[in-house]
Amino acid sequence: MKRIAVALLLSIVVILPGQAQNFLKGKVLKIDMSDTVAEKGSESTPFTLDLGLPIGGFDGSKVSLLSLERALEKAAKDDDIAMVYLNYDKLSAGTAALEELRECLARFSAAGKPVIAYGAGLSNGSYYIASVADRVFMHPKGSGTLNGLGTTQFFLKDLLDTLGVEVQLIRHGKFKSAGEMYIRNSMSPENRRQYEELEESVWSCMVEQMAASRGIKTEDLRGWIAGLELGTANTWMEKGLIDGLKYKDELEQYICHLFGTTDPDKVGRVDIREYASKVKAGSGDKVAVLYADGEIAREGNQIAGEKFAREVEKLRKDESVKAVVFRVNSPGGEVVAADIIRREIELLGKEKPVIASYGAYAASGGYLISAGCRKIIVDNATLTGSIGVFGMIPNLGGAVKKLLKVNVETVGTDPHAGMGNLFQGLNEQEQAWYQKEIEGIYSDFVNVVVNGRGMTYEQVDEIAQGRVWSGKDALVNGLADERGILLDAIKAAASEAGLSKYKVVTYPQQKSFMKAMREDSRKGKDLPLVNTLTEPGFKAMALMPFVTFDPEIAL
Amino acid sequence: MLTMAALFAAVSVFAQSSKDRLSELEQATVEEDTKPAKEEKEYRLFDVNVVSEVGFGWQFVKEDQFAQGLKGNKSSEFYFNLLELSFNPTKWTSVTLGANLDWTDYAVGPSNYFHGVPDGDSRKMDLTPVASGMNYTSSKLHVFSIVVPAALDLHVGSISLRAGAEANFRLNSYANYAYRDGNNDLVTVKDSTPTGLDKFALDYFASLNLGFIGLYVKYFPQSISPAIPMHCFTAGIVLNTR
Repeated sequence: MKRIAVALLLSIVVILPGQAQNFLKGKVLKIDMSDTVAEKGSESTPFTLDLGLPIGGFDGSKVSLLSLERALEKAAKDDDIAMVYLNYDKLSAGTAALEELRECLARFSAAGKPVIAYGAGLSNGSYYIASVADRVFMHPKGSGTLNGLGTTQFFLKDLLDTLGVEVQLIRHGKFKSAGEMYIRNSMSPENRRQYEELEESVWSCMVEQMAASRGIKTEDLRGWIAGLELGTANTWMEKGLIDGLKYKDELEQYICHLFGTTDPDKVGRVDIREYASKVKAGSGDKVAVLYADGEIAREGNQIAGEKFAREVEKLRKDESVKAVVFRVNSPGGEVVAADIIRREIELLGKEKPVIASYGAYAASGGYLISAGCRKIIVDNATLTGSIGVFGMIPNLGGAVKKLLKVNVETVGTDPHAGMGNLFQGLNEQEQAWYQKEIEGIYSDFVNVVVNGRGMTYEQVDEIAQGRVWSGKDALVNGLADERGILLDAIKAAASEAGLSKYKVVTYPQQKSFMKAMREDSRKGKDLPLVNTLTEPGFKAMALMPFVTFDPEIAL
Repeated sequence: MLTMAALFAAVSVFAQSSKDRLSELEQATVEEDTKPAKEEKEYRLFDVNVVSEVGFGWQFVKEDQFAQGLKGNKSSEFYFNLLELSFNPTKWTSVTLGANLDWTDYAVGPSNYFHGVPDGDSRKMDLTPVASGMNYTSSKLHVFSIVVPAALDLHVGSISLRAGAEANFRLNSYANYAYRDGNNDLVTVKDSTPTGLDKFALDYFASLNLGFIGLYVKYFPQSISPAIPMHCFTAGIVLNTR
């Protein structure tokens, strides 16, 4: 006992002097939230050489979420970085991206390095990320409020009726709300319920995290939000949601104080974009991060079915790639294109571990293409599910007659020769045919999920019906496996492949501007718009089913 | 017991949360800092510098060639860097390629001077003995070159070590000599005989810098010209603005 007491005393003697002089050493890592955080970062610019090296340094317009996460992970262990300074004004990132960045900042802080946040305007998104900081400061004249999440939808039925346009919506899934805007003047009860529960799921997570970070009760924070009790900087201060009011120069002095100096020139700073550009990709076997970012279509610049499938095939055949993270950020799109991609991912999964990591959306077609992955890792704020199908046929016959005084007649060899013609709607028999097609596609979709998730048809059907789920709810109902950020998915993929050392490479790989120009000039094909204006193309488009989720929840 | 104390201290220090650490730092006293900040160079993978170096050196010859009379303290070199490209794979190493303008004078005397001598139908530059009775003062071979150095740099803090090779492209050269005439006036004669210098020469160099100032050495393994068999090495001072 005596020995323990002496040991404790000695340790205090050792600790106290050390602590008093424990000023920060290193640089300040600056993060400016007004820089757009994108899934993939900057596209090739005219100043990118074929070598892939940018002239004039880093393109600061967009920075990829992956590079930010890796930069923060490295910074947490880098002796050259002492703290993070986060400017939360003019936020330019989606909810899921914010959640992942927040997680990275929390891990940075857990490494014993402080995070300081500062700005003048606080809102849902900016406070969500700022609240993770060890100290949150605000400009004395700053203001803002938390008001919860909301979705605004437009309904065009009355307008279309006035114009004489009729839209026939064929769907499976009472929650499949895409297309409702054309046939209704208000939300259906199912759609309303779906969005209320979805927004509550995402928002409650956000509020809980904000409250926990600030050491206040969630109910109190919800009460302040509902009562609109937050406004001026002083109100935020009174509620304990921020730590102080400072002008920029006072903040500079505060940061200098942490470094044990009064001279701002003695505090080194580095922007996270510059720091991220120097993070090495690693060495050894590759873990590929394959991005599916955007809508799924047959052709185009986003996720073009065949083209994307060829990229997946390349990964499958590339022996240096040992594992794949399938980063999905897609609200879905066209059925056939989605299935082409799904098939290639399935073949890839037979040869290498494929881990799905979801960003803001992996809904409908976005879920279809990834349901068969070995593991699905989501953010709480990810919007997923929407397992449902719809098709939409506009009938412009009434409009051209009403507005342009043009009458349309169709003559054909068979009773349904005019089916899909945009100037006549589907009759009952044709509607029944289309409904059957849609039901078939829905059944196929559900079976993909059944096989991929190891659930029964009934289990999937119950949570499908076109319903959108948050990532948090998807973890409960079986549509996802784990909560985690993109970095976690990369580590999981490496672990599945038995890799302790690996190199992270992103796909599809960006072409330099010159290479893209050369390839486009060699193609010489018609623009998609020209294709759709031709008679066969128009009909095909008109009858094309979609697995798409729409619209967006705004912060 | 001491081990336990040390362990406990270590755990306490490392287990401290960032919030606790901030609270402590906020309470700490910081005295006014009047010392000027050290300028730290930003690390970039590629760098371009213009007029980053100026050097001034003196030529020396190998001992067995002192008979040729190269006067080390009067043979000089002046150069400055026009452009320098560097590739910095790490914060401490660089590979550089540059372009310098170089003026070198080789001074000889008192018993020899640079002088054109007949060579068949033409003339060639040679080191010839001074004629007796000639009140000869000095003779210099002036060479202007564009020099392309390629070097490996190691730099830690303000100390840097650079070593490499240089390609010398001699663009112009001429010789002159000076003597005192009967009135004891100094007469300089420019000899227009082609110097016969090799258009291209290679030298090896190294420099050690502390901050903006340093010392450099260069060695030419080839002689100045076939007619002038002198191997020189240069040592001098370099100022840099990197």
